[in-house]
Amino acid sequence: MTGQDLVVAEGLTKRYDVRGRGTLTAVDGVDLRIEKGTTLALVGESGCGKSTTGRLLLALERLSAGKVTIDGDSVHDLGKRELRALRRKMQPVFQDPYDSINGRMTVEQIIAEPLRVHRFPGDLAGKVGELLDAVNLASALARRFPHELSGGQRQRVAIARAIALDPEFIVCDEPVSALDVSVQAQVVNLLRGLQAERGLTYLFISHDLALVRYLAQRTAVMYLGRIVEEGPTAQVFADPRHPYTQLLLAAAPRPRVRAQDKVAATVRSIGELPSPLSKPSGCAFSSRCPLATDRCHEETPVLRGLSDGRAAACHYAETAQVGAA
Amino acid sequence: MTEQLLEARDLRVDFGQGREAVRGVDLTVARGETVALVGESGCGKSLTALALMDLLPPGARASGSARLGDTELIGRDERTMRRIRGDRIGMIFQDPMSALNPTTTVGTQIAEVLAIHTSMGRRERRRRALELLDSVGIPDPAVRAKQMPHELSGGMRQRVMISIALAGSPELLIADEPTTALDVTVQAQVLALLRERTRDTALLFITHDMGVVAEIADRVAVMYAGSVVESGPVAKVLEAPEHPYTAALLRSVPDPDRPAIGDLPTIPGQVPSVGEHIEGCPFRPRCASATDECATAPALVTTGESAVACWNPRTDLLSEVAR
Repeated sequence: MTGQDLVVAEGLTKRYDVRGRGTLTAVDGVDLRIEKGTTLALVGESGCGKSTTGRLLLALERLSAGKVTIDGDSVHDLGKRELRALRRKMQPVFQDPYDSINGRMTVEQIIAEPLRVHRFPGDLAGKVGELLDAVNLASALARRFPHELSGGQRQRVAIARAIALDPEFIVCDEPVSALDVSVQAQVVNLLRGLQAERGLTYLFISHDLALVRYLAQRTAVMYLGRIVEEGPTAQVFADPRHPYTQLLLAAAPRPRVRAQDKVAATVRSIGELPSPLSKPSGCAFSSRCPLATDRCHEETPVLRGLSDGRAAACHYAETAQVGAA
Repeated sequence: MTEQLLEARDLRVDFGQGREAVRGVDLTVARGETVALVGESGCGKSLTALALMDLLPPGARASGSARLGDTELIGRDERTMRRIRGDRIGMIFQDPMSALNPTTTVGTQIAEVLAIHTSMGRRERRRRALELLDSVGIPDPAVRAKQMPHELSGGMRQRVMISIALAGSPELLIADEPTTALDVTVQAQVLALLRERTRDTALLFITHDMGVVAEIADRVAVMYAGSVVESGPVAKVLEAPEHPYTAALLRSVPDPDRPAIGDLPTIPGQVPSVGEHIEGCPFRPRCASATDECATAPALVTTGESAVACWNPRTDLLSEVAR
C-alpha cells in the first residue's frame, strides 16, 4: 500500500434490539480501510449490513462498538459542532434521490442548500452553475423541479449536491440501481471522472458485482454482517477465495447465453439467507455452503490474510472451489 | 412453422390525444416457448403486457389485435377477460405483495384460485394447494400454507405467486419483471424454477435485464420507443444483434467476465418520451450509423427466424465490435 488511508474502520458493530426476539447484529466487527483517492466496493445481498456500514462510516447512525476515523478524526467521538464541520468532508449519495432531495425545491435550490447551510462566502449562483456543469447537466435545468427530470438527471443533481462542499469522502449507496442500463453507464462514468478530477474517495455499496469492476480498486464482500472476503478487485473477480463470493459471481446474470456450469447449478440449491436473528453457529455461511465440513459448523473462521493483499474468512480459503468435481 | 399461441399485430396503447406509448407492436409466442420482451423504462414493454391482459391503467386504451389461439383479446368485455385471465393467461408481477392478499394465509389463497378455475371439492383443493407449494420448491408446504404473505421472504412470495399463476393450468404465462426485486442468488433459483415449470407453457417474460434474457428466453424481442425494433432466437440477438440500439444496449451492460478497461460504453442522448412526435426511425437521433434513409420509419422486416426494423442493419458479431 503506497497511499495514505483516508477512512479507517475498526471493529465496526451495530446491534438492534428486536422486541421479544432478541438482538440483531446488523454489522458485526467490520474492519475497513479506504486509501485516499480510491474506491472500495462493498458488495453483498440485501440484509448483509452493507448499507448500515455506510451509514456508520458517515455517523448517520450510532455505533454499538468500534471506531471510525476519517482523515484522523474519530467520527463518533466528536461533539456536535465538530461533527458538523466534519460533515463537509463526507457526503452520501443514495439509490433514490427522491428520498434524499426535497421535491418542492428547484434543482438550483437543492444544490445550493448545503452551501447555504455551511455559509458559502462566494457567488452562490455561479457556484451552482459550476456544479451543474461538473455533472454534465444543462444550466437550463436549474429552475426545474425533481419530478420534471429523468432518473439519471435526478441522480446527477444528487451528485452535484454531494460534491458542493468539496468533500473528500463519498458513500455511494446503490447510486445507479434504479437506473436503466444505458443511463447507469453514464452515471458510473461521471463518478469515475469526478474521482479523477477531484481526488475523491468512495465507498461504493452495490449488489451488482459486474458494475463494481468499473469503479473499485478494492472489493469487500459482506455476508450476514461480516466481511467474508476482501482484496484487489481484479483478483477477487478472477479467483474468488470464499465459497460465497464464488456463488455470488456465478449467480450474476451475463448478457450472453452460457453453457450451464456446475457453480451456476450449485447456486440453485443453496436456498435463501437465514434470519439474521438466528445466524448459524460457526461460519455464518455454513448453512448454505456446499463445501461446509463439521469444523465450519463449530468454529467461526476469522478474516485472515492470504497472498497478494487479499483476505478471506473461510477455513479452506486456499483450496475452496465450489463446483469442482 | 410452429403454431403460434399468441399473435399480436399492430398492438397500440394510447393515453388520448394521440399520446401513444405503444406504437404498433408485432409479437408472437409459440406453445411451450419463452419469449423475453426487453427494453428500457418507458419503452412500452409493461403496457404491452397489460394490454394483453386488459389491465391497462385508467385513461389508457388498447387498439390493434392480439389473438390467443382463436380468441381476440383486444376490445373484449370485462367479464370475458376475467374468465380468460387465470383460466388461460396466468400472471406474475414484480411485487408479489401487491398481488397477494395480506390478510389471508397463502394456502387459502391458492385454494381460492382453484375454487374459481377448477371443479375440485374443498378437501381436494387443500391437498392440491400443498402439492403446488411443494412443486415450486417451498420447504415444509404444510407449515408455509398456514402463514401470511408477510411472513415469507421475497423469494418465497414469488414462488407462491408462481404456484397461483400456474394453478389454473394456463396456456400462457405473462411475467412482468418477476425477479427484479430479488437478490442474485434467489433470482437464479426463481429463474430456474420458472424454466422448469413452464416447459409446456408459453411464457412471455418482460424484463429490462439482458442478463436475465440470456438465462430464460428462447426468443427475444427488443422494444424501443413503443415498438419492437428487433426479434430473434436469443443467442443470435445477443451475439450478433442487427439493430444498432440492441448492440448499444448490450455493450453498456457490465459483464463480470470481461476486463473492465476505461469507461463503460454509453448511448448518447435520451429515449423519446411517451407521446413525443417521432418522424422516421425512433432511434435515429442517437444512432451512430444513421443515414438519410432513416428519415423514413423502417418496417420490421422478417428474414428466417429474425426480424429487424433498420435500414442499415449490422452484420458483425458483437464481440468483434471495438469496445
